[in-house]
Amino acid sequence: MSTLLICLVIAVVLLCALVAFVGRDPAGADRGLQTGAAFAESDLGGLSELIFSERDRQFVREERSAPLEALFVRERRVIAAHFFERTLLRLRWIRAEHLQSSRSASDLNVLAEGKLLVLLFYLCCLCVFLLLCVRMSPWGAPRRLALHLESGTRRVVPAIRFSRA
Amino acid sequence: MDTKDVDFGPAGPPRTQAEGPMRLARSEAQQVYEDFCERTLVKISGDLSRMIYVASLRDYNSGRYHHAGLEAHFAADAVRRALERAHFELFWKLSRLALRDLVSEVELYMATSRESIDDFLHTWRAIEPYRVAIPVGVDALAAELMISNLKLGLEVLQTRRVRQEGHR
Repeated sequence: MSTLLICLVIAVVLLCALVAFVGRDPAGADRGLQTGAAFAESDLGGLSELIFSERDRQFVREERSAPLEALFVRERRVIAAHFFERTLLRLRWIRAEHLQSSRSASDLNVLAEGKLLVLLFYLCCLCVFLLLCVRMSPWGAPRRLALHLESGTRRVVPAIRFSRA
Repeated sequence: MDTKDVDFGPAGPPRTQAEGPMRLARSEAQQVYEDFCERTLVKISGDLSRMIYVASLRDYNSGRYHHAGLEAHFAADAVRRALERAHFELFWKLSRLALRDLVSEVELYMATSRESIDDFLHTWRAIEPYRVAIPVGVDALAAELMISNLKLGLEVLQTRRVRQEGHR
């Protein structure tokens, strides 16, 4: 039963990630007053570190108030969900931008392109998984994975800078 | 506030000389910024109080910053840019704070407001005036996190207050 459940979760994550990966960048999506390249390249400056801060969690725990802890979890969940939604949009934009410039490139390195697309798809899967966690799981999203996602997204940003050069 | 090497380029994370080129070094806006930090902001205790003060210099309708004293000596555009940058920097500093430190900032602001703690907490929790203290053009998620942290900070203070009252 649990194996079936795990397989179902994996299938949902893969399907959602695939939809997010091939989907178009929705026009007018909330990017926080940013558009296009500025949005994709915007460095959120370690926001995931702040959203999933262990220090803050510990501080609230030390106050020894159940309603306060519940409020903290609720607030952080909302922000984490927005963070993952934005990261997904960002990844989608990077993929679209990169594919467009790759089509007109004369010296295309197929292996490097393939690696980049795999990395982007992996990050999309991770993002969808974390989004599901933050929305459905009672424990929220795993902190380490969220930090890993942010650093991974930072790694792919130079790809679009390079493709635009 | 460190007034050296501030970039007066387009809005974004404050850049220092170590992080990027300084575009308008020693420009009029830079002079205004230094003057404002060294003469005005330094007299206000706490970054939250400073940010709220700078936000109060912004016109609600146009979003432009005005400071009569500075505008008497410098060009209005330079004043606007300097105040905008100061506002942004203060927001940036506060948004990086841990919740514990932000609570201390709120406590400090509360102490300087001269209002009773109960009135202050009631008003701030009900009206959420800190929402209008956020600079325009900052990252939406960073602003959301800051507002959420301030909300949590107020709840922490309220919880402490209730506990304190219970002990009496």
